[in-house]
Amino acid sequence: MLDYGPVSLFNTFGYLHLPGFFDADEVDRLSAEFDAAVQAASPPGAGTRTLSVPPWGAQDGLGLRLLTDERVADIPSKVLGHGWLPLHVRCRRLADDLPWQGGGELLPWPLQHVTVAVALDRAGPGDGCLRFVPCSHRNYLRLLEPRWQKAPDYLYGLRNPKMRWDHNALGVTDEQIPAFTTATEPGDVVVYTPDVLHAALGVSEPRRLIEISYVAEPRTDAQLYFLRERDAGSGGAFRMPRAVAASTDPAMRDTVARWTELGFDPA
Amino acid sequence: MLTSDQVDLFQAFGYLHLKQAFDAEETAFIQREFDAAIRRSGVDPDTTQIVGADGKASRALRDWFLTHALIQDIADKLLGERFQFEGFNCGIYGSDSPWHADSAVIRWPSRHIKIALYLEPLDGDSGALRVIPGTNRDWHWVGDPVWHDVPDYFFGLKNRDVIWQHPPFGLAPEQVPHQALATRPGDVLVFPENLLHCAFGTKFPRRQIAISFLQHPWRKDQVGHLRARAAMLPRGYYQPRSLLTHLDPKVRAMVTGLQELGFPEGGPDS
Repeated sequence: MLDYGPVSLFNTFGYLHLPGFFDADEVDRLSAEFDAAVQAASPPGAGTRTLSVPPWGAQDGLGLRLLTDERVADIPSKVLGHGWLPLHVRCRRLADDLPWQGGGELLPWPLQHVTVAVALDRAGPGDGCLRFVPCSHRNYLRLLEPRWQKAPDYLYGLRNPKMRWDHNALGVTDEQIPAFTTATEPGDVVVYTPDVLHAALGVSEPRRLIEISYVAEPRTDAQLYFLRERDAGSGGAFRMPRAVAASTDPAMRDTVARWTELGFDPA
Repeated sequence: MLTSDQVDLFQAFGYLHLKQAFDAEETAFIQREFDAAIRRSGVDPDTTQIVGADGKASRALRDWFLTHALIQDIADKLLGERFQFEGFNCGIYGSDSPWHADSAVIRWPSRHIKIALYLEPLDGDSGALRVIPGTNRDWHWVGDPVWHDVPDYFFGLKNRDVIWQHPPFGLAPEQVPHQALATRPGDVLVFPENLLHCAFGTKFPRRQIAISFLQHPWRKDQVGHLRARAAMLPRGYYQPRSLLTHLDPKVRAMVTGLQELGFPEGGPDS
């Protein structure tokens, strides 16, 4: 379980690497379920290309089990505080580089959100592990501490990937951006806010990640409006699936009830 | 010469790594002059401490750097017109340096930079400079008052007295996320002292040349800070006579700013 040290590290740097979070047996099971979910949801001819699928199925399936895993749920509890909601779970196969991004481009999120990424494959600095520009989670910090509202941001040119199509911001290539790499082994977890500048470069072999996203519970009309817009724009990505709605786990039933109260009925 | 992209990179991340900025011939000259300065100073080059050549012994090398177009250009582009020479040091580091960034307690009201050259190939496991990019808070603080109100989560690392008693973020200092700047002789590193930096994993004494410059102080608080600092430093701030009368007007301009403000002439490497 996270204690004060890693939480302050996360707030300071914008990410956290938790090696050996899942043991080898758990990784084997997660991997098998990941592969089954991807196979079931892959469009014909998808091959091994990049894709992202939801892992919902049986009551004891991958998505629900991760959401109810106490160790996993401890992360948003410690990082986001009391009021948080799960957004979605994704099985993500990354076969291409992920360009620098983070911080919402032109439309920053009005509430804190974090991603818990479970690595199922080994990835090093030269072959696609996640890399972060430390302390670049300016938007997250603005929500954490209003005094950050005033601080100028010198990294906009990196936050908006479209700007790098025709211009290398700061005169350096993606690989030359000063960044910290998180070399991962199967079972490691990397927690980050999508507001921190992040990338995955040099992907040579497809690698598998399970991503569990959480958001701070919306408290204002503006936050709720933002979530509704995002939900509508993404085809209902924030709606808890019926597998969660039918769960016997009281925490999951509370989650579904809260989302429903906010106007997001189960999908 | 620095490009505008490099200046932006420095502003955003707080350091520049200029690879092979000096060619092989220049590097051989620098190494030779450094070793001669150390010999003349009677310093043990195999030290396990942090030691330096005395000012007079390294004067020729200092003047060579101060007249070098690249060094002048770096200071000019980052500190602006009438930047001032602050100091030159040929040092041997036989031990680690803990995380630090200035004192953490006293904020400099003037911008200042260090230009550093290491004369051995170094990497993260053998004492290369480690930095936390983007922690150049006080650099921004000087130029843009909006930073005055922004919280800083790094105090515990910046003040080395705190680290000795409490592991930052619950981590050993070596585990704090950082970037190790692996360098080869001929490379140049530029950073402000208020960027978080350290060196761990010393395996052999590393030779470092450090040249420091200040922006030209003109506000009362800037001048007052320098006077207080001069009073605190064992050697004070002084304007070497050899630089005040140097043939290169650019070099003279590096010292006359402080002279006009009443900082004394002289000093051990005059």
